Amino acid sequence: MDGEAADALIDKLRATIGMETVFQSPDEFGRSSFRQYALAIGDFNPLYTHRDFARSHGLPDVMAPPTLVCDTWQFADSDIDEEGRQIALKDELGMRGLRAGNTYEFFQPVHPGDIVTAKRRTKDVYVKTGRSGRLLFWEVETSYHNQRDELLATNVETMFLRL
Amino acid sequence: MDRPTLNFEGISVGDELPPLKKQITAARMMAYGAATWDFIRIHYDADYVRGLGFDGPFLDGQMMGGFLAQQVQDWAGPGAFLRKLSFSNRGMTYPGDLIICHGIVTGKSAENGEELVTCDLWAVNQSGEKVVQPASALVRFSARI
Repeated sequence: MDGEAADALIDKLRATIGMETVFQSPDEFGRSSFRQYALAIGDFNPLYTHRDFARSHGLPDVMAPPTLVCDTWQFADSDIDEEGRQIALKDELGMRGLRAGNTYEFFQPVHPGDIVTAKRRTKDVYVKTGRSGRLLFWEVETSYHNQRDELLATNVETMFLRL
Repeated sequence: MDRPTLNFEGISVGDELPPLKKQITAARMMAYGAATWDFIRIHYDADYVRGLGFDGPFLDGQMMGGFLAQQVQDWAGPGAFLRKLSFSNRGMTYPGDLIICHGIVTGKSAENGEELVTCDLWAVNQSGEKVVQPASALVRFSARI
């Protein structure tokens, strides 16, 4: 990417700082979502699939695998574009960004009847110069709430792009 | 997995979490995309992803968080609650790679009735390359809210 294009991208991302996008799930999380994610990870903990087991450990029902609420885009509720991304999730970084990491905080277990609202905003945009050149970092913070407006989890994801 | 929750009193700084191994396959990557409603082609479409300049379809780095959460929950037991999880990805992971998650207890505290344990976590591949580092978890052992 040449310097001009890089600066334009940085400006576009910086312009989104503080702007919030809200994704309102159209329906309950659903217990099969838990089972499908557990299968994908290969995590067959009965807390996520067996109600009686969950109850015997103090839960009212099965709970979601902890990271599911932060990983899923089932709340976005949009069609898919030609890159395979849900249209509602299109961003300035596009497909060139890579994941630097995530920081999750979990406040209470997520249950199948929860109807999630995800609130997403750009937290920070910055450039670092390393051995391999300039890297652009984009930090996005999402908070997840249930139908009682209780905070379920927060997620700060950091994506990066070689400029 | 299906075993009692660890006794907080019995946990010591320096305790190692049992390593968790994950064989990465194209099928598991596909299953993860479907399970998270994330259908971006970089994780399964070889021609497309090479056109973007990558070697081939690669693992969604978020899957590492799922593996680490499993490792911590398996170790702590079903009554423990994962309060925080943080991880940084290093390098790319491809189908055929074997990922091994490691962890060690770094701290314990009991304040206001909350029994908390912190762990450092990391993951390596079959070549011994670090694919996740640094990473950390905070686990609550006291009763659920």
